[in-house]
Amino acid sequence: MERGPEELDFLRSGVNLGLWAKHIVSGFMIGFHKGTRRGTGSEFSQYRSYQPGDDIRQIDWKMFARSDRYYIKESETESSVTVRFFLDTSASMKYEENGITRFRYASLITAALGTLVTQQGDAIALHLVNNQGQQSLKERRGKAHLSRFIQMIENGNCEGSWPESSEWLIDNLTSHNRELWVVCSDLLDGHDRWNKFVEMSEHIGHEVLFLQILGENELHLNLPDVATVQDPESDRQLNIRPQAVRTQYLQNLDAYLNELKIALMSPKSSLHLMEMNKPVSKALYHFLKKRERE
Amino acid sequence: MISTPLWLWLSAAVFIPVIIHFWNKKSGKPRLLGTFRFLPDDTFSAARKIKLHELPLLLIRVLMVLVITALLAGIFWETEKDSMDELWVYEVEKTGNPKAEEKGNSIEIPSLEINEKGWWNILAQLDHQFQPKNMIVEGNFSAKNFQGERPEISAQVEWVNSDSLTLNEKQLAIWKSGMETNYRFFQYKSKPGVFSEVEAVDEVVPENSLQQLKSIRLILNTNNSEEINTGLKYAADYWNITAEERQLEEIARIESGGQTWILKSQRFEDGPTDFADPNDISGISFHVTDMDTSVEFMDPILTGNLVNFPILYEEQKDVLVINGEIEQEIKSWVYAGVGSYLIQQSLEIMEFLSPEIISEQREVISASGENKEAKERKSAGFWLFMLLALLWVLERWLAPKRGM
Repeated sequence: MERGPEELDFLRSGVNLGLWAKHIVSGFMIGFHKGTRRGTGSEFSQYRSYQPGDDIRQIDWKMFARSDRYYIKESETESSVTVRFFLDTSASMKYEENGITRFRYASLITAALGTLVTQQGDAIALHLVNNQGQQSLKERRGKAHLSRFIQMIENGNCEGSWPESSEWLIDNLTSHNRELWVVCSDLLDGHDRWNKFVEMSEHIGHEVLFLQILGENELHLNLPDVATVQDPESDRQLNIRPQAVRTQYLQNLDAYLNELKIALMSPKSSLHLMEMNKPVSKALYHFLKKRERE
Repeated sequence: MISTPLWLWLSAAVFIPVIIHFWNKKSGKPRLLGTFRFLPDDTFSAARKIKLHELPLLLIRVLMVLVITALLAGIFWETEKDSMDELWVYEVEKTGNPKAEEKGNSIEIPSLEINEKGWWNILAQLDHQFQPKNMIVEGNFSAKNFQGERPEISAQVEWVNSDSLTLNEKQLAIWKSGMETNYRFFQYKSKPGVFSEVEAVDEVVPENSLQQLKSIRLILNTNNSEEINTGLKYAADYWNITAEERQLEEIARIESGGQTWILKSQRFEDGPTDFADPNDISGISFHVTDMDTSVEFMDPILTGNLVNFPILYEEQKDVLVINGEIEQEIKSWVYAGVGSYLIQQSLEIMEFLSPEIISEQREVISASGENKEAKERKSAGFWLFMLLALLWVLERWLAPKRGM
């Protein structure tokens, strides 16, 4: 699980996102979500007798060798949901720390989770979201779809901000299946927008996971003595002395994060903070472990 | 004004805080900060405002460097020295406290100090110290107190003769001659100078007088040549002393109050170099008469090669020796002077009334204007140090607020 330094190197380099996402999830012995459908999957459930119509590829030939009977090996698959990823591509995702942009970090998380979901046999959908125009990938299963999923992430371009209204979302929802929404963003565009998002997902009946990705410098303002900082969305610049403004800044940030927590407080939504200085693999592992316990 | 301008090079160090300031300001490429909107708006919200906030700190640091430089360079200022209009200088007879005493715009100087240093040195010092416009000097202006060259003095000097100190007449000896009459030798000052006189004294000298009344007489050797005795008798007449002739080994002797003073003749075949060396007191000047004529015997060093040159010297305190052959024509005249000197010795007349230096000679040399504009130097060290402490406190107070 200790892939930190390698992973940081990867994030800085332009190595194929899909490969690394696969590499990350290969170590996980846990799934992204639990399902009740039995079928092919990673978690063994039971053997049942072969019945006409079953795919002969599912026959467990080792059992046939021992018992001379055809058995189908069934797993408790954790799927039957569509996992819809909303990857924030607003300008604030260009925020960079230790040579890694927030978008790159979020991309790896999205790609890794997408890979995990695909391995579980579930459908994934992707929306690259900003107010300059969304890109969407409809829900599908399979490796080919995962490739398109990853390709689309890699081509993502960060600009503008998160859209104020949620109309764009309604237009893109075509599936009537149960869905799990995963939002990868810094969630810094004002809690109202996220509140609306939660309300909409609740209305439709979907669960939403908010993965808030923030940098260490954003959380603690660990900048040099004097720094010129720029708002990625408005391009406004300021010269600041972090030491002088830190207290007030942290108070403001804490207040916002608390407001956000309250805004996202819902039985079907949860908020997970991920710090960019931690390796994605570690962050994901902890996130999935936590989710497993819930 | 600066006492050590070399340290001024240090003022170039003002660029250090300036460079640090601009280095700090040079924050490089703007950093994207997604949480930008959480930065407080009221403080440091604009780059322009930051400049205004940092300026005092920069100025304080530059000032600190300048103040340190000024401290090291020894900045001082000059103020016009308060000059006195008048300074009174009094000569006082003091034995206990030989130091000069300052009282307001007057100063008392003991006679002893004046005798040691002389008026010129004292006045030059007072002129430098007090920068008076006028100096009024009251005291005794005997010639002996005006040694050396006249100094340059910026003040106008006015001389006032102190009656209490100025002796116009001084009795130097008193004696009783063989005729039971008392005589005294005294000096008095007059316009041209100091005069000496021997005169009869009628009144009785008090017993506690410093000068003891002595009975004194001159005894001459009968074997002396006529010229010698004539000269010696002339001296005795001048001093009103009884002279008598007797068989003696020496030329003459004076019996005075139980003491005897002897005049001997001594011949050295090899000349005076046999007994005289540079350290001996061998040249004695004496006045043959009271004031008009004198014969001064030459220093034996100068006369070392003149074998037959006469010389008079004191063998002991009370023995006067005359060496050499004195020419016949002046023999009586020389012995009159020698006898007079011997009598003077026996009467223990050691010092004489000094003539007063005339006021024209007391005029000081007028100094150039430079002395008049003497300035007092006041160091700025204390104020600079206080300023530095204040700046340091300010700097320490401001720096954390500015995060610098």
